[in-house]
Amino acid sequence: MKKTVFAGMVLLFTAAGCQSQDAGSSTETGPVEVEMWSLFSGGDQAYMQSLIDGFNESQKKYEVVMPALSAADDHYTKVVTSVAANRGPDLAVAHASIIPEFYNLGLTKPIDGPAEAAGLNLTEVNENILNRLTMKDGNVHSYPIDTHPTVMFFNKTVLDEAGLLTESGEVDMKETPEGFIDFYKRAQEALPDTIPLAVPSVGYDAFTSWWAFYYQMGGTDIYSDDLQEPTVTLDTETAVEAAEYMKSLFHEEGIIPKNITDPYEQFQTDRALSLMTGVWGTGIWETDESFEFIAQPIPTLFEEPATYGDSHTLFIPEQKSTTDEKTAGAAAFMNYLHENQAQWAKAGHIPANDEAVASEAFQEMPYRSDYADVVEDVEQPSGTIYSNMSIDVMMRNLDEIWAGRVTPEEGIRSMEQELDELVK
Amino acid sequence: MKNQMWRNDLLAGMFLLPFFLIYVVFTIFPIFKGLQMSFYDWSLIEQGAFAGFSQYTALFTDPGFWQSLWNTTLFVILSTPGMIILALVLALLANINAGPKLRTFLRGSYFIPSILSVSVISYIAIFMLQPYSGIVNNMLNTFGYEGQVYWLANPALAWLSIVGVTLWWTVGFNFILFLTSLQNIPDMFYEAAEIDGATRWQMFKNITLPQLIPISRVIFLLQVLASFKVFAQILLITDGGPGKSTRPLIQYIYEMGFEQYDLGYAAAMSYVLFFILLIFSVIQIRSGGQGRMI
Repeated sequence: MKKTVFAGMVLLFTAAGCQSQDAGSSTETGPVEVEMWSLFSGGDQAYMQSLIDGFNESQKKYEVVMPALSAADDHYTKVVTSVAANRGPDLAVAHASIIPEFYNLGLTKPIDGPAEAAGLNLTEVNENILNRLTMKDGNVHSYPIDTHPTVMFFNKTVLDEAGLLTESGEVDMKETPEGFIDFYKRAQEALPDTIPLAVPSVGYDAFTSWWAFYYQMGGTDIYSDDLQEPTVTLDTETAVEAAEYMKSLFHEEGIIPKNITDPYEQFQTDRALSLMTGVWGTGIWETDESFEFIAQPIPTLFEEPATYGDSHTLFIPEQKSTTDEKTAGAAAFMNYLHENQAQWAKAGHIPANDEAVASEAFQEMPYRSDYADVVEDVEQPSGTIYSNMSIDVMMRNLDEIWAGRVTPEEGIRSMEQELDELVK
Repeated sequence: MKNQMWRNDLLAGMFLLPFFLIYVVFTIFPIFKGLQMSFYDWSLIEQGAFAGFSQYTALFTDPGFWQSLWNTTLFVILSTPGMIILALVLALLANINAGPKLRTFLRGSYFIPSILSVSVISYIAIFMLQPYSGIVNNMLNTFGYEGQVYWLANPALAWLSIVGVTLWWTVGFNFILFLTSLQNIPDMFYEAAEIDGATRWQMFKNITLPQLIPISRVIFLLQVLASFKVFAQILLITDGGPGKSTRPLIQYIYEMGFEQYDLGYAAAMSYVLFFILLIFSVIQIRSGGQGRMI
């Protein structure tokens, strides 16, 4: 008999252990907890944490908490599944390019109302970005905190050593396709052991560089601007041409060594002269006081200035567990970020709040003002539900071109085909 | 008496129930849910329209499916022989009477990689195989090879790297199975052979190997099933690259389901993989004859 009772107890405890626990609910007396999930890493994460700390100290009503970060790769999958299961965060970070996809899945709450109630004036946000976040229903579905374009970084010490600085301390490069290559040839001659341009032959940086050249050559948008049923409007000829130029930097010209894995470290330890990457580089390298670098827009080698860029935004998931109270808390935090975007710019980004860009606090920061105007030339992925998925498709196909396994024509054709299949 | 039996049954049932519940919720239910999903348009968050067999027919014209299925098959072909032969060689080495200390050391060192998690072994691999700064290339350079080998940037070398890492990581499990089986061969066989004047090679060929056949069949089947399910180490080491040249079927299923939110199609592909494995297992068990599998 005793045994039966014991077994029964084991069972009871097991069942109790299986019961779900409601995480993150607020207590009666304390502040309302607003849980935020982010995809930041490194410097970005630290700057965001300090803003959260500032918000929590500035008032007693709400408390924003940011649990341990997840890798950027599965952040979106986690957000989608958890919100669908009504167990998501009250506030989530997402790139502007994925917001149409989330809106289409019914995951985002319009923020116009809550923002207004919190005293956040959305008209102060950069119009271009705000338009991208205004969905079919006429409402804004996410609050942008920045733009992060791809720019160029030069190691000043190495530049100086190679004699590639002008007398006024600027990069001595002629902004033409030949001038660009010539600049790096001179670098190679002066310092044969230094990497002229450090771009990994797989992934994001090379993709964004191709994107910049494609738009500089006058390329059209990848997709038509239809939310659910876009068509592929890629300008094949220009895409091939841009890919040919980019490929020549890896191959014929030998300016970018193949298969480098850690360009940031090589750049910071004077083993690389320059690189092309997101503006977050500024936030990373300026913390090293002995390290001198120049940050500037990607040179306009072709007809018109253009670069790749996206924005970090915050959205409030549409789910039962995000109560009105939590929504108000999330909007209050957005308002705090709005007022303190210059502080977020410490991470290297360009504020999405136009007033923050004009502010003295931002203008006085080194480096940023050298590339803040790039915002006007940023070409973002078109506003369709496929934008984010298509980036993977493009990267993969372009990687094949950089590796020399397919010709630029073959690579672009296969990319176009896959993009076409994606939207079908 | 009857009362006592009933009580025993109840007791057994209560002990079984917790596991059974978990098993139903996390294994049995998803199996049937997956089958249902494969017949619907099913996004990550909601059930769409009934799709009949259209997802299954779509598979046949999807180059992504065929390429990743071939990649998985290639991995099975490349990894299985090594996984069995190396495990056997290691087991024979560890079974040699070479003093208890060396024996414990050998057994331990062959098996220890198996207890590491996939993320740990993958990051060790990436770290070691890096061009310019990785230990493998540095060693090659020390031995006089000039230049850099791009282990993960060339399809053939990427496969070599993945298979090599997997071999190092998981061979310990097969090794243990072989070792147990070796120790179960009765000593009297060898004693009798010795009396008859057999050489060591004759003993190995006529006693050891035939005695290992049943376990070899088990290992072969388990290994093929395990290799068909290859996913995590490839995702972490090459992410299916360069290009798509090492992307296995499970990664493609994952990408379709969790990156493109097409769970219905992903479920259909999972069922195709399931049937491939099922057919393979049936053939293998049948050909092994009755009662010889275990």
